[in-house]
Amino acid sequence: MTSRGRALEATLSVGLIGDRELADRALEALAGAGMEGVRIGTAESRSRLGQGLDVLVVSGGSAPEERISSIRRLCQRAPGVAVVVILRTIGDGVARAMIAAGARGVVLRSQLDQTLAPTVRAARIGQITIPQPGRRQIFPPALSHRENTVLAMVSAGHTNAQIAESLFLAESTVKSHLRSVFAKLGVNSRQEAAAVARATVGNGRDRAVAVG
Amino acid sequence: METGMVVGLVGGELGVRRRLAALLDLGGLEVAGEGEDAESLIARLGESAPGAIVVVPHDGPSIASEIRALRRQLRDVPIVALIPSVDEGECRRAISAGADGAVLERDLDDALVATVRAAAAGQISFPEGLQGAGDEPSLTPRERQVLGSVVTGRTNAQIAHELGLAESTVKSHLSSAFAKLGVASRAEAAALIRDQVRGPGPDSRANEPEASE
Repeated sequence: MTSRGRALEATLSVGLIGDRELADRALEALAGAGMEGVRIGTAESRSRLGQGLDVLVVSGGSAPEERISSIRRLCQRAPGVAVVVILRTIGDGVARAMIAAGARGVVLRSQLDQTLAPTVRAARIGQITIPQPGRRQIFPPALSHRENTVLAMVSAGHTNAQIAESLFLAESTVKSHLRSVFAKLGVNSRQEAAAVARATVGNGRDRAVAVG
Repeated sequence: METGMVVGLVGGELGVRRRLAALLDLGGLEVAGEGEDAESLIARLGESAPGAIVVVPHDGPSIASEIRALRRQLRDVPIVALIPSVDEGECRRAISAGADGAVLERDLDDALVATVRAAAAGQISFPEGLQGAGDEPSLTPRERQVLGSVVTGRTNAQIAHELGLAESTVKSHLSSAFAKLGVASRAEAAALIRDQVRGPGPDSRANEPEASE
């Protein structure tokens, strides 16, 4: 195992696909850490994926929902390649959804210079690596029973008044449960809370980003 | 950026810490200080905060409480926890307690340095497979009971009557259970539960890593 670890460092083959400017920045970040990457075009990716690529860094592209399904397809097509995704933001459970789609790492565009190289290394050896703010998406804090119930009803689209009525609570109590849920989840709106709830509970992998 | 970082080691037996120090050294990371527990490391480090800390489990306080103790005193220092067995719960508890990385002892040789570096760069890094563990929904007994009735095709009104609950209470148990299961309808919930009772499908191992490369 030990010798394998060192061998990996030496032979790590990293491909970059997507946005040209980001790929250049990514190449520089990798070079700074003693790693060499190769930029590959979308057209050649199909053939390159099968040829001993260890890690594929994917950048640029469309709306989160489309990106998630394209990452899923990519990971299915090349199960032996560790995929690392560069994203502008990871709100609304996107980090969670990317990992569920098969990505091994997520890096924020703004932090790429520091985070890409270690994330690529970690991805290659089977660790999942994501930005700090994604912590709550994958390791959600424990909510109380009441908070869970209120959150579930918010996710289902109920108003505070409706929730108060069905749970026989004062509306102010519902609000206070919700404030506590928002604080624990690190969100600022019902929509965000609902998105986090869907991204973190259940095994609805494909539904993780159905809201958004 | 890739060099010059110093790391603190907390806990474990001397032999384990020696092994970690050797691995870190091979990865270009220097061990700045060691301690049997959070207190003694902090005392030994004095003013200078290390670039990262690796916590090794030992007899005495749980790894989670050790991490919390470190967090209280070294607010911003990245913490990586060494998890002795393949224990998803323990990884989860370590990260929930404030660790930025978790490494299984099994993967130590390959993963320690990369995880420490990732954590030091501001990322969270943990063993693959862990993110699936959180998917196991923990339903309350009432939610199970109500779901069970849904699977058998009863209406909310019937369930409410049988369990002596208000229909609104049944609805609230159901919406909570649906959210936990990640389903949007009674039919989906029923299908999911039937699948689980029958056991995983034939392609459930499709995501297993290749045996060789």
